[in-house]
Amino acid sequence: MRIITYHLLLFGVFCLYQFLAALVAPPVFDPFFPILLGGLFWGLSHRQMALAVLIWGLVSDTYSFLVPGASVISYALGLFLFLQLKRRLALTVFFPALLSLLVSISICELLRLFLIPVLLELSLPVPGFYFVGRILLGTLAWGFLCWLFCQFSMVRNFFELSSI
Amino acid sequence: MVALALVFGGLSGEKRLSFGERLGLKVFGPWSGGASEGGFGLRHLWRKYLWLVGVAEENERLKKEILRLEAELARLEEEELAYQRLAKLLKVSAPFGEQVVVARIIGKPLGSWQAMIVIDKGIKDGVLPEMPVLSAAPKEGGALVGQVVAAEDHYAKVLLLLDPSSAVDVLVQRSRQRGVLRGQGKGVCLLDYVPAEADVRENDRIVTSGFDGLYPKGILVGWVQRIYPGRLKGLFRPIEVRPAVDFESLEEVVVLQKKPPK
Repeated sequence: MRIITYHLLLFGVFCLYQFLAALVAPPVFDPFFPILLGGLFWGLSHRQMALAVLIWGLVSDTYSFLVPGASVISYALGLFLFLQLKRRLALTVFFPALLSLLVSISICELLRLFLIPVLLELSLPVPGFYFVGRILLGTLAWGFLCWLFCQFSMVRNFFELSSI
Repeated sequence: MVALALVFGGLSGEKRLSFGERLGLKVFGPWSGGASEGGFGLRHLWRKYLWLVGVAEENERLKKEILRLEAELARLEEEELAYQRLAKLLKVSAPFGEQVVVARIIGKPLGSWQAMIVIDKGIKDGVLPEMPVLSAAPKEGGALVGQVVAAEDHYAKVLLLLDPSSAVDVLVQRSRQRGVLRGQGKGVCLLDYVPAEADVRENDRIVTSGFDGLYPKGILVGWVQRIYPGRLKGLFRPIEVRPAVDFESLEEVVVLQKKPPK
């Protein structure tokens, strides 16, 4: 049930994003990656999280990039990094966990929006740092909101951090 | 292996989409279309109905009756606007005969700087990669939007003029000066490879040259907005071009078919 709810949440975010994009303009953040990290709070296994990364990375690539792979690869690396940080830092305390989230999002989004497109020989917009930077900042803000939701939501017991 | 096949497999085919992307479009295309439809609908409601309600509230005497009439008017206006848009699109397609496909935009990039859209017509409708995409421009008829870069059975990806990967061979219509129009990722494009001594003035109309073999000759692309002084790039003088198409409010497009559907 949890895995279905998790994917339904991501699907809802996808529909809401496209709705807002049609209504005004595409919001300036990556909707998926912060929620993919949230798999940890839902108690999903690594295999389930990897499957989620594949599915939603593919959706992101389909709608966002000329060449495939940028989102899938960067989401996978970002998730791997986050799990490593979790293991090393034992993220049961608020600030180390938040810091790990911010570091993972920053590295993942820089890979997705800058490094992998450059490696795939896509032309970057001018000025590149402005376009990449604002999406990065937007995703950090979105990630922070998701994080706060997990921390302070009414269903905190359901989302609470693993004590492993 | 399955993941790799999904991400990178199938790119060499006619569709130019990986297996995963094809699956993604098949599964999420209808939902994305529904969400976009809702967004466009609400935008129309806000612009054509709620604003009128706001005006009507100032007049207390006619409150109820006006509200009813305005709701009716808004509905009729909406239908008329849709009719006008379709009529414009038909006008756009007239010079190219019947080999056109009218498509609606159903998806936009998810947190990316790439300027591209997903439309609701694909290979089954005769839309193939490298086909030019046009839209109705105010006062000018048809204007270039971009080109199809990948297509699925019922959906296609369109690369917009604004994307940094986009390059179009164009002419300054008045002086016949040739150049390459490149996207910058923002609302303006850059006309490159124009000699510093070339006769180019502000508000000159830019049209496709047809030399690239991709876009038919003479399609409106935009107008010269700003000419940088001096030789900023060696022999050439970069020129800013304002696209004729308002990409923010784009809802429908016309795909020009280069060859008839199979």
